[in-house]
Amino acid sequence: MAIEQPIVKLLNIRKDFGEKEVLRKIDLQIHQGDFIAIVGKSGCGKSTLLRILAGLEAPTSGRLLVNGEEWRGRNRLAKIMFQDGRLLPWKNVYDNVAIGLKEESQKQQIEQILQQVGLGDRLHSWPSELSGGQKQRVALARALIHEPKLLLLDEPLGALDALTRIEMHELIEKLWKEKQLTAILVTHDVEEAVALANRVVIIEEGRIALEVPVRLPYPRHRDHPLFMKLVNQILNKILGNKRMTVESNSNLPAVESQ
Amino acid sequence: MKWKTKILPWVIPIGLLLTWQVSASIGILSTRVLPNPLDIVSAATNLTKSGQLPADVWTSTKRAFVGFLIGGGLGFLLGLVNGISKISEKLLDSSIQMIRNIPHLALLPIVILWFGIGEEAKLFLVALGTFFPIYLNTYHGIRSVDPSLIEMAYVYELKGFSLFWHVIFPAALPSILVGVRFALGITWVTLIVAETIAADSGIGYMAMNAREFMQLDVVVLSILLYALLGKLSDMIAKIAEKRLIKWHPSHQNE
Repeated sequence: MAIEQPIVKLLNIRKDFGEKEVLRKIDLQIHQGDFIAIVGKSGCGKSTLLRILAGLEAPTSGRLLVNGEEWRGRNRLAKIMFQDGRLLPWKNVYDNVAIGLKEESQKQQIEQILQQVGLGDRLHSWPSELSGGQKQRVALARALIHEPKLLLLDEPLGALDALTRIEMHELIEKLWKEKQLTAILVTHDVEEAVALANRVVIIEEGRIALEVPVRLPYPRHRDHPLFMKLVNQILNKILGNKRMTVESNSNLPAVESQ
Repeated sequence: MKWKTKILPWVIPIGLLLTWQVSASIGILSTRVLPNPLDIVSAATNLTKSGQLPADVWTSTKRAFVGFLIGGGLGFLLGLVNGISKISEKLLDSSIQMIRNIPHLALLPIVILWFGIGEEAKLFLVALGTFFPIYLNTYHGIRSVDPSLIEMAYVYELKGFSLFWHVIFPAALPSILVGVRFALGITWVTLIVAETIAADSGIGYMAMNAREFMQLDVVVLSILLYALLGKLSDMIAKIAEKRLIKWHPSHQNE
């Protein structure tokens, strides 16, 4: 793992939405070449954390350091790949990847990068003609062509079927290695996290409950005993706490608060 | 099977036309109620030869086009500005909504008092009638652009005009085009009323003039001309829609 200065550092990050505390005290360091997976139940604040890293939300308090300097507003080093892809339906595959490119030299790479994600023959297709997995490949190409220092993946495979997901895991792993990316993946799929990440961060009620380093060699095989053991460990951590919260909730009056 | 589906929609119109012709020829249908189709065709050829028909059709088409351009253009611009700027929306939108409640054809008497029966009267009414559907649909189209796409554009550093051109305008376009088709319908209805009541040229004037001389075939011809022109402009709008939003799933596999 990397030894130099972290490229992104979160110090004591806290985020409230009105009365609701979403993130309470997050400290996290991201080094060059890291692949960090953030897992947790829905509503635990993991997507908010990613949005803070992208600069789409401002933290209520705490500091975000990028290359050692305090950062406010949109994080230009980061590109985010959204769960729903967010392709522009009125632009074909090629033009969707070309969005926001200012230099001619980058435009010349569009075909190459689409080939890398396996869509070299679909340059002129409309997004509505693509399958869910193909759309996400376009979204991935669009993020990668900017050569982001930090690739943020917000449950990018959540809506895909299991087979397509495994294909996408292989693709993401391959590109991460080839391009020496630094990536942060938010997911609710623990197997996905263990298959891809070198560090799994478990978030619970707005705090980091556990950080688990994953030292298995790539490509990772799901039938490896250590793989299964790690997955179970992480699942137990997440679910075990869920059981406790269910019990403590049952003592509360039967009023649902939003 | 294919020729059947092609022919089927035409069976009833052609049948009606034939029944009309036959019942007029054998005298069941009095020519004082409806002239027979062949008479209408000959009226059309005569009027075309004399040059009156092309002149009147051209006058009406020009009025429709110019009035639509003025009203639609203003509606589009204001819809755009109010869709994008909160301040402008607060300043203008409620006033526009108030004026919208006045049926524009109800202004006909006052418009005649202002402009007489000159060109301005017709252009004013057409412009007023087409302004609102285009304004409303442009404004609504821009307001309902998916905020998640705007956020995506923010991540990819699109700003100002390029944000508008690549994201906001194409997203609003389907709604704007609905407004255009709606406005085209209103254009012709407005012209029919305005030309019938206050005009000295145009298709409506031709019809009223023919009524004076009991030329029933010319009256029916005028009505058919309006129908034809309305259909024609709707077809043009449909083709434009197909070309402009060919990315839309409803226009694929065609």
